[in-house]
Amino acid sequence: VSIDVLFERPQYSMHDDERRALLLSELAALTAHHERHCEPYAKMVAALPSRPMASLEDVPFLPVALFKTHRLLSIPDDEIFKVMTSSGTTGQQVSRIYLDRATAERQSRALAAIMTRVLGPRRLPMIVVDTPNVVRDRALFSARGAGVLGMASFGRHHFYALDDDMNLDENGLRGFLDRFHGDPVLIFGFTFMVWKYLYQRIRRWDVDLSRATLVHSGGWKRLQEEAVGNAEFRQAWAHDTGLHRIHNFYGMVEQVGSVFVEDDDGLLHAPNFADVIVRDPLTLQPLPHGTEGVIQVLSALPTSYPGHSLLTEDIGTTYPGLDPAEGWGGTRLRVVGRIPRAELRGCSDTHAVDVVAS
Amino acid sequence: MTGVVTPVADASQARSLMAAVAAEEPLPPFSDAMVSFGAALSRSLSRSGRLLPEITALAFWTRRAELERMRASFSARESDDSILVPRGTVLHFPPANVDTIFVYSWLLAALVGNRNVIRLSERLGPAAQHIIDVVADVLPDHPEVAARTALVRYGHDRDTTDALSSGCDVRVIWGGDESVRRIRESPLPAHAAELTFPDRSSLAAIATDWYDGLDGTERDDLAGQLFNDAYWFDQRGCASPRLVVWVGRADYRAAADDFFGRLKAVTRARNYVVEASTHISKYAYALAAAAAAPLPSGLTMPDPRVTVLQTGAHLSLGEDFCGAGMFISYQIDRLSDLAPAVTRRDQTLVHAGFAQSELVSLARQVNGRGLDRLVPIGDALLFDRVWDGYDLMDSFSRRVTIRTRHV
Repeated sequence: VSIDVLFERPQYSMHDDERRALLLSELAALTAHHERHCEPYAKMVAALPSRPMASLEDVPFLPVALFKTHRLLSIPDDEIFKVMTSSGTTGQQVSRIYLDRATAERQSRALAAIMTRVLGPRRLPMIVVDTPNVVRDRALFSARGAGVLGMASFGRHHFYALDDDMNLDENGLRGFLDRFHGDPVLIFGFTFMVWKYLYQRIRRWDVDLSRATLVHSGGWKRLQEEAVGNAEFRQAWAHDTGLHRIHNFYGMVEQVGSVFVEDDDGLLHAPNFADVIVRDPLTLQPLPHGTEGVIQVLSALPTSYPGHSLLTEDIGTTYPGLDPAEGWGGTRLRVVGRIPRAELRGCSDTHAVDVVAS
Repeated sequence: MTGVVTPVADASQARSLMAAVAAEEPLPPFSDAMVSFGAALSRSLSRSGRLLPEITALAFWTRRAELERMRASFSARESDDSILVPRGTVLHFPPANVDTIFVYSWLLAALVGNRNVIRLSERLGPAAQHIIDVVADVLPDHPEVAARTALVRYGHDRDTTDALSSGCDVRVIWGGDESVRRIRESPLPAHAAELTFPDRSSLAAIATDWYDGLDGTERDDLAGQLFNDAYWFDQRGCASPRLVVWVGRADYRAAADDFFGRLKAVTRARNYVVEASTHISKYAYALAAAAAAPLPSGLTMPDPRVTVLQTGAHLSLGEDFCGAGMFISYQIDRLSDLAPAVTRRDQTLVHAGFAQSELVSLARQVNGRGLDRLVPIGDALLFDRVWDGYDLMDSFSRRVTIRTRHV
């Protein structure tokens, strides 16, 4: 079936047309699968205007917020293997994403396929820009911990560079760099922490990271407050440390494994088994490449929950995939940020909480 | 924030503030001092140049003639053997986002003589901020009122709420279920009364045949009135209608389409703006509605400002209402068919095309299960001293009976 092809072919090696055609048959099948197995999903899709699935733009899409208000799953309860949760930014409600073993395994396989392409087949000595307690302490276990755990399997000789108070273990880091001097190493962390607690502390060290690869994620919001964008981020690392293999990635708990990874062009690339569309938030119609709109993510991975086509709360712009002979294939994406939340009037509870909490 | 608002740092400051307010004797009901203050506030609000509709409505409500009318209606409920007196200190927790409620709540309590402590949100809207500026101008000229009034602000602090609550005689909690739940964690003195305004939602009913009889201008006017009811608080006020019920013949769709088409024109003419995040919430809400009940004519969102979900029957999704122009539209044969669907949450029915007797009969049939106000379309947001089933003027006073034994 299509998904096997999408996995077997090297990531980013496919032409857009071929990849999108395979993805469409997979996503059409997933839509039918979830209509059969998830009753609320079927009712939602039934209300939407019916149209032939002629292109990826025709696949029905659910707003991610529905995973906070509805229990959306396509498996019997006794097949639930793991429930992923995320608080998001909209309040106390959390998204609940129901995984069975098959979906969880497909997610791991997907992330491995992507990271193999990014990092090469060997596991590299790895610097984690976080505290070891982020994966040890169950109380802290969070999206951050899950992210670190997910990436840790692509490295070896893990060195956790920070303590619980975000202090850099300078001696430990120097020791690690001496030990693997001249070898490729993997650095992983959340964008803001990588900048604030690693880059800013080592920028004057005269350190050579030209053989290192940095993978980071988590969004630019806090760095934008310091007027640091992706261009400044990349340039600063390259200038002060020689680090130029930098891969930001964009992903979400609603589609784990289906991550969009940045290449040298500074844009995020869809892997073979995923795609991205932007839509006009006020008409919900798809927008052409190069236009800013709300991001819809498509993924062939989720069979245990109807999350194969989701309208996010992020704004971005798409660009067509490159000819795989020239660079990475896969629809490219620039993420601009979160949709600003409207200040609505009225006397309902969200505001009532503010009455007390403000 | 202006100097008229006192920041309360901690519980001990809250206790001294309550003690200072309580040191003043309450004024008699409708004292000249209080009526003069209300009238002065009305004049200043009218002159202040910021004539937002809710400020205009407030200025109208508090003008001298209106206050005199209230005074007359208040004293008409007194007699030689039964008089009304203030309760003491009223502690108000107004909602953050309905900017004028705090004044109505405060003035009604003050007019019947009470001392008032009003907890203001730190996220005041522009209208509330403007009103506070006007109050700051007017209040110093009315020392008797000023001495009996404290506008306070503080963060979410249970100890401070405890201290304020322990010194009040009536506590008023606006702002919905969550506010009520949290503030109720702070105990009241045994004698104190409490008024709560939990989450409510509202609906509209239109008699289809009556609508057919309207000419184009009248239909446009009706759409404009519903716009005021629904959109003024982004359709998230307790009194903002979410459902539009068509009462009469089964083939109501032409009338509904005509009406919502006119409503769309009104939203365009008045430049109602739906923001991106709100529209996505509307889409999520519409899908949630589809999961809850079939939508025979499907879900389309051709206009971001007006989305109509035609359902086969009553559908009330209280949680997470998106607002900003989302209407559930359906048909019933007779107004009384609405009764079984009414719940405790239902506050206001705005209506058009019904006789008083039909409305009374509906209210009788519901018999207290819900629906506190049945008002014409266009009047949903008009504040009235009877709100959510309370007559606030009664609730802010106590009745003293005086009998003698004839000799």
